[in-house]
Amino acid sequence: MTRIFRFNAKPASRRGTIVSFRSTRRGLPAALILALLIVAPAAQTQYPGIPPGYPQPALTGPTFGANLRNAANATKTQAAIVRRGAGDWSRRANSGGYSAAQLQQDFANVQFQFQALREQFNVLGNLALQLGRPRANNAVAELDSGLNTIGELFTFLQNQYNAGTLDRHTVVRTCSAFADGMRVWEQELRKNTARLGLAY
Amino acid sequence: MNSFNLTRKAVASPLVLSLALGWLAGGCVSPSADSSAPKPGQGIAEYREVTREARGRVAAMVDAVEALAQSSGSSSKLSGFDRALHQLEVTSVKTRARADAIIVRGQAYFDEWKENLAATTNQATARAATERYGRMLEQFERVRECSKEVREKFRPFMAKLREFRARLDQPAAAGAELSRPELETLAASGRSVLTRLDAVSTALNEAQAALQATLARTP
Repeated sequence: MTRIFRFNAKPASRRGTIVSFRSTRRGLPAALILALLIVAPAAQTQYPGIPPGYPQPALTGPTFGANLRNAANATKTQAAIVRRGAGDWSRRANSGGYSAAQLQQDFANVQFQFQALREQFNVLGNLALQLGRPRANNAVAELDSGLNTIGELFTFLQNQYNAGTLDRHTVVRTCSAFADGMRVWEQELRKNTARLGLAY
Repeated sequence: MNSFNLTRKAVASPLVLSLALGWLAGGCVSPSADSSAPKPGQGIAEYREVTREARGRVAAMVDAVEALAQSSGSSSKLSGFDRALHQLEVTSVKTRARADAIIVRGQAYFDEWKENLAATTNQATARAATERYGRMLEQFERVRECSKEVREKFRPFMAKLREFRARLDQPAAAGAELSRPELETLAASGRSVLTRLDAVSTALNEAQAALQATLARTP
């Protein structure tokens, strides 16, 4: 049987602004709006760096090269977390008893981890740009664009939410594509370490 | 690598050529960051490979859509559609990202080239270098324009595919005939992407020929 996740877009409180994430029907639209604001659907071909207001994780080492390696390792680790999270989401959604509450939790979790990956990659990208090497800049641009392409899948899911037509089969397919897309991105990250100025 | 480490005292003609090759060689991955120079034309070869891979996936997708249109949505055809869509999604992460970045970094190489041209003091060699620059820039712009067209067609094609597939899982779609006009529109959209990809391949072939001609003329 096909389960469609329909959500009421009414605000959580008639008085206005408080939106509870404990309420699936009320909280999910807010989570989706947040996701829309965070995950930019348009592909960027120029690496923008860390946006104002975003923290730079502390990854300091004894040398610039050590900083770069730390940032690359942290990015790899976070990418693996995102990939596993998407794979787990796909497997859970494949269960017939997958609920709207689980969907909300999984969406929020993977979206959060993906955003953490973006922030971690921004640190790596900013360090690589300091090398002043065109090859490093180009590698950063490719990887950044890859994340934007993967991020389109969030936009798709969100649009399905908004239309009230999201069903778990679509979630399964999309999460599976997301996880495999992340796998490709991780491969590209490994291949690009030399271009980023890293020698292990 | 890299050509940007050359000093401004370098002779203009080899410098310009090396910078041209820099764009054409963009994207190589070497064991270390600066220890090896990219091979001439490696960038073209890389972009050709990306284009070839993307073309194969899009062609498979178009075939799957057409098969679905002729089968009225049999489950075996639908699984073929799903497989093609998944593979296209995964491939597109690399191909679209790489194509976007190649477009941008190619321009960056040309910007750097211009800076070095401005630093050239020998007027005769500067003129020759500027002519080569113009020829290669022309090739680059052609590749770039074709790539933009691919990008403009590819993204809506993917969006339509996802939306179409999602609708098939709706209860209202259960047991209903697939919309043949919609499938034909999807297939046409895919063929349009293929046409643009072919244009990129043609432009890359022409750029390769221009590069070979430049190499042959360079003493």
